[in-house]
Amino acid sequence: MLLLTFALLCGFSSIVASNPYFYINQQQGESVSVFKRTDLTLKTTIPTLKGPAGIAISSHNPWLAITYPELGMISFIDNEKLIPLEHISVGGSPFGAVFASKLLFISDWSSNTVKIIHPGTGRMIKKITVGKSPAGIATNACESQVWVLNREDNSISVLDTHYFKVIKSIAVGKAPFALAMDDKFAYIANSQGNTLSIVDLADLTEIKRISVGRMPYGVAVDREHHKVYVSNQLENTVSVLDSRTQKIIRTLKTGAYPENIAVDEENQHLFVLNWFDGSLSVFNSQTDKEINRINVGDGSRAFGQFAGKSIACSTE
Amino acid sequence: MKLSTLFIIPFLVISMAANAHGPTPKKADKSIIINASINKVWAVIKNFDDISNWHPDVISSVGDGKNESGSERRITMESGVLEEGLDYFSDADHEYNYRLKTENTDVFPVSSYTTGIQLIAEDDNNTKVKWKSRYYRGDTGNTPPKRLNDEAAVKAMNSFIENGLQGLKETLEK
Repeated sequence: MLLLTFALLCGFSSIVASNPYFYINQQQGESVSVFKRTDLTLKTTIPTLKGPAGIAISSHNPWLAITYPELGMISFIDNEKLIPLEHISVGGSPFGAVFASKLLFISDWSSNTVKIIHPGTGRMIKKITVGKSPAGIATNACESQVWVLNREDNSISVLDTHYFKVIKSIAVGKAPFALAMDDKFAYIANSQGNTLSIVDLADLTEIKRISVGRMPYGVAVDREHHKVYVSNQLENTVSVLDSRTQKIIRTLKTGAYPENIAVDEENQHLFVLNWFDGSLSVFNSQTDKEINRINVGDGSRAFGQFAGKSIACSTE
Repeated sequence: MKLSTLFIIPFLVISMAANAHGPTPKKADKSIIINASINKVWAVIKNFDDISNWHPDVISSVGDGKNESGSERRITMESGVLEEGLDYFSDADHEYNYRLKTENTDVFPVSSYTTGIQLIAEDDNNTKVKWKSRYYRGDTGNTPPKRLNDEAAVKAMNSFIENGLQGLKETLEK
């Protein structure tokens, strides 16, 4: 608590140096595993409450947020000292989480709301009603908007992070679950539609819907190599999209039930969490060849952007 | 490693069961060796609609007979009827995957399950049948009744898979 308050007093203007770790929740246990991004070795495990599912990494402060859907709780963790800071009761079923505009936004799928938490005080400052069963949540580069996917409503709610209002609802495919954004577009995995929706960030309209594999469950963007990766949970594959042509260029073989997925552009790694196998496939994101498979344990989950990245905000 | 602080903000929330993906998913991973060639085992198991021919817990099953992605079947058990949809079917790999279409926890206390069955030839006369499933408890809310909690789901799923594998073995080794 003191640490958080101190960080707040110091202001948000300083960008934290690139976080050296990526994180995998032990949803069947009570911890978060911390891996080094450079050599992929396990650095430590941080104790948490029971059943951590969602994760968010702050771009501006040394913080992680973890969600516990079954407890109605969230935790803040110091991602430099690798210690838990505080546990906060928020009620409901907090699932997806993202830091934006100095605040934490969490999707609560049992109350159909996005809850906004002030990290310094732990207080809930606002609850915004969105669609049914909100799951995946993300923010744009300038953190002016938060997008949340309403899984049971087949739609996106776009929230303004300054006025705390839904500014638009966008219809997408069936059961949208996870998303990622590059500079121009948001890419949405429609888990039961077996499709990927591409939505224009400027005019907030869906411009394309592309067939991917069965049960697309995770999305990650590699801006450097102009690629979007989509994990197909029931096919044990990842579809690779060229973001310039918006066409699928290849399909990668993974372990069983690939779910959460993230790109570390700095180290040219694509991470695919194979839920059923309790393993993490690591691909070279330039060649799309698997270079390593790490044991991460049964029941591992990391719903959200589990390998941090800062996107430069360019205001025109 | 102690918490710097811990505080709780009481917050009133009306709990409701939603068909969602928040609770911890469960995993089943079982297999059996059957004393029959892979083609013989595949001939018995491959028709998605014919599960009642070899599964002792399934009284009857009907479907479109197509064995392709999008095919559906209705299986009748003692407790009632479940609807399942085929996602993937491969003759070449002796494999198919399916999922629950419509939830009915009165019939089966499990939600959002996906299942994969695959055959592997051990040798000319022995076949390994692999049965994998990922699933959630019947009530995915935060206060499930005993009948629909994790334990009930694990018990029901394990029993269904074990009985199925045993039934398949007995059907083929008669």
